[in-house]
Amino acid sequence: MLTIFWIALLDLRSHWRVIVVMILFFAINVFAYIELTGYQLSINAQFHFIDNDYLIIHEADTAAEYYGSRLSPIIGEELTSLGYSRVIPAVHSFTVTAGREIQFIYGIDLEQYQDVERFQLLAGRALKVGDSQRSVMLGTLFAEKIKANIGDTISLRGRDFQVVGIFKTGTFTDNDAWISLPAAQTLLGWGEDVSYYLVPDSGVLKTGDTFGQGIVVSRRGESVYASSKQYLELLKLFAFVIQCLGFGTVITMGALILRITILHQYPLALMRVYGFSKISLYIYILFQAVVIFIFGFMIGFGFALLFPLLYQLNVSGWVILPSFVFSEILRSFGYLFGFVLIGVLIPILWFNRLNLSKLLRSE
Amino acid sequence: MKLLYVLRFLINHIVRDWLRSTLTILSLSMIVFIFFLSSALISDMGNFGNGLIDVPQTLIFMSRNAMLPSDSQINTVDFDSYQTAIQDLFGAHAIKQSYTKIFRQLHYDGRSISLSTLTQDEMQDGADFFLLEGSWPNKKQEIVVTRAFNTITEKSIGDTMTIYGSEFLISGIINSEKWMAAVIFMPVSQAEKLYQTEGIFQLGFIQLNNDVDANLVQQFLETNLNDGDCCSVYQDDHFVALYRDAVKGIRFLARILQLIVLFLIAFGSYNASVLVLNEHEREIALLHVVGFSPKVINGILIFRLWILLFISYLLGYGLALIYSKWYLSNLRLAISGNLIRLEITWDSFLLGAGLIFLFAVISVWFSLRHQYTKNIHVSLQKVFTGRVG
Repeated sequence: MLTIFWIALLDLRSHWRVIVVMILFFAINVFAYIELTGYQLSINAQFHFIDNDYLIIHEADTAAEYYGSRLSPIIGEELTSLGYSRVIPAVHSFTVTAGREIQFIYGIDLEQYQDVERFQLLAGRALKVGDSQRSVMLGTLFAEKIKANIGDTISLRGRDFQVVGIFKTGTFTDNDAWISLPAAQTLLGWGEDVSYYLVPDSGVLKTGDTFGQGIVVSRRGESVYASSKQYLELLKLFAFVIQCLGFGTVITMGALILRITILHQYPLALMRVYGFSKISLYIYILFQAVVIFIFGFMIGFGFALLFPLLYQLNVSGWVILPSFVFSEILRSFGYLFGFVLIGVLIPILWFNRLNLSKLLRSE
Repeated sequence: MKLLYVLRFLINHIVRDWLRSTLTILSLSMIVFIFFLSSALISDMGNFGNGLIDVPQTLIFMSRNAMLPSDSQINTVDFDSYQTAIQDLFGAHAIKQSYTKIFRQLHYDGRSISLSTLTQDEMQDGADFFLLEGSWPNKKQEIVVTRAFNTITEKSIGDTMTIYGSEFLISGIINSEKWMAAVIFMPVSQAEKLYQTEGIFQLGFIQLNNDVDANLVQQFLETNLNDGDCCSVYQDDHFVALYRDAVKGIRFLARILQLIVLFLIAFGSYNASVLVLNEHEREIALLHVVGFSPKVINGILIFRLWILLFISYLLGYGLALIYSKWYLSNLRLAISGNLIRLEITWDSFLLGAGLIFLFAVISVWFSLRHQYTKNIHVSLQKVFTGRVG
């Protein structure tokens, strides 16, 4: 068996130029596939978190937890009169800087936000009751984007805020600047208005209920997921394109190995004469494909890891970093290897239909 | 005559090599197919926002504290004061027309759609809308929608939809070369009733006569009426840039994809060229021995690769056209109401054709660059290698 591997490697070496090109072909595919899967995973994690414990009351036809909803404080009073033990007001909107960079603002109720927001503090401290209105907690992606640290002064819509904490939620709110509710209302010029109210799902109101003219009830997380759906659909289109790329690569690799096999058909026929079985020759073909694939996978995967350091995808102000999970990488490896096996079938089928005498006559 | 002879020879050569030729054509055509899709995506992202607001020579007024048009709240008194100021300084004839719009961004079935008010006259005169089907709204709770809206949502004439908790009937589908985005239009009176905002609107438009410099007027308003109470003054390019910035990341990804595809086409043609050289080493050596100059042999090989690439290119183009048509009738993706059309344009066809033929020349040159450093006797040795007697 070692002899077969050795011969396969020598044959690859004798065509090293096209083999290098083929490895690059595969590397590009692996890079594109892993990167795209990473983006899909990341978008799903950032925007797909439905909270079954809480409902939000917001303006109809808006992605309230992201942008677009604005309610009068009277709605809050009406909700309290319905008997809700807790009615949490929130402002979520964005501002655009002069350089057209988008900044997401989350105005939080300092007394209650820690009960309904799960976050991991990476540096500094959390906002607390009594903090100055010019104190801010930054999501890790936002902090990285503007290169801010604890104690720094940052500008939100032309007003200075001091950074007291940096947090991570693993969701789209990692792009946010969290400030107190009154600070957000002042910053946006909203008076007492809020974006939405958060209430526990205690059965008084249900998803889909209307609450006066143009105000609806939905589950927490739904509006954000809905607004990200259009981007997920677009990524599916990219995924289709990359699958076509994979198909093209499989045919190219199949054709390449077939052509190398044809170029070496006489020596291969001699090997059969010397007693090597047909299976050994299939292994010869498969081994060549595996070598190309493994090298291609390593280069492609390496570049996929490097890419987010060189470029950060920014869509409508959200920084989206690809998420690399071991199980997904393993799945990608298996999936792409499946493509390789299909590609290998081309030379194997060709080789299988020729008998030994035909192969020997080839010279 | 000579060219026809060479062509016949090469076609025979390709046909005799049918398995290898077919595989080369299949793989290259798949890459060409992706080239067209990525070009179409880049073009779509480049046009993003074009169809949202296209009003040349027009100043657009939006609340000073608003980020997007849908946040803005302007009242008639404030808006009128701007018109008076313009007329005072630039003359009574400076303003061609002025109008206001209620503007909302709706999330409908997971898609972002714009809602706007415009009168029938404004739609026909200013935005060049024409009625494709149905009628303009003439009853309560009637709306018209753009062709893009109809394509994206599949909602058509006679269908109803809930907007802000109220039912509306689609009475007509309109279209304009200027407005390519998905927009719902409703009469001002209905919108005011729906949103309970009488006398308040989101955007004010002042269209200036052609002899007035819009930039100068904008500058004047910004410096002289900048009291912080009412409005920011923009021109349409501001909004287009705002929307384009939102998708610049996706556009960049599509560009990377296109770059990858161009690399792959180059790799593919290089591979085909090197392998043909290896497989037909003896034939090439024979041609060299019988007196064909390296230039002529190069030409023949380039011609052979061109034929393969030409067939692959046409096949890939055909596949892209079929997919584009299927996509438009089945998938219809949209970002913020801007339909991703995946239209395969002549520009990308010509660009791709130029590049692919250039790659063929470079690939053959690259793979043959050491070939003719050998003497004829070395070529002769190659002819007889492995032969007995």
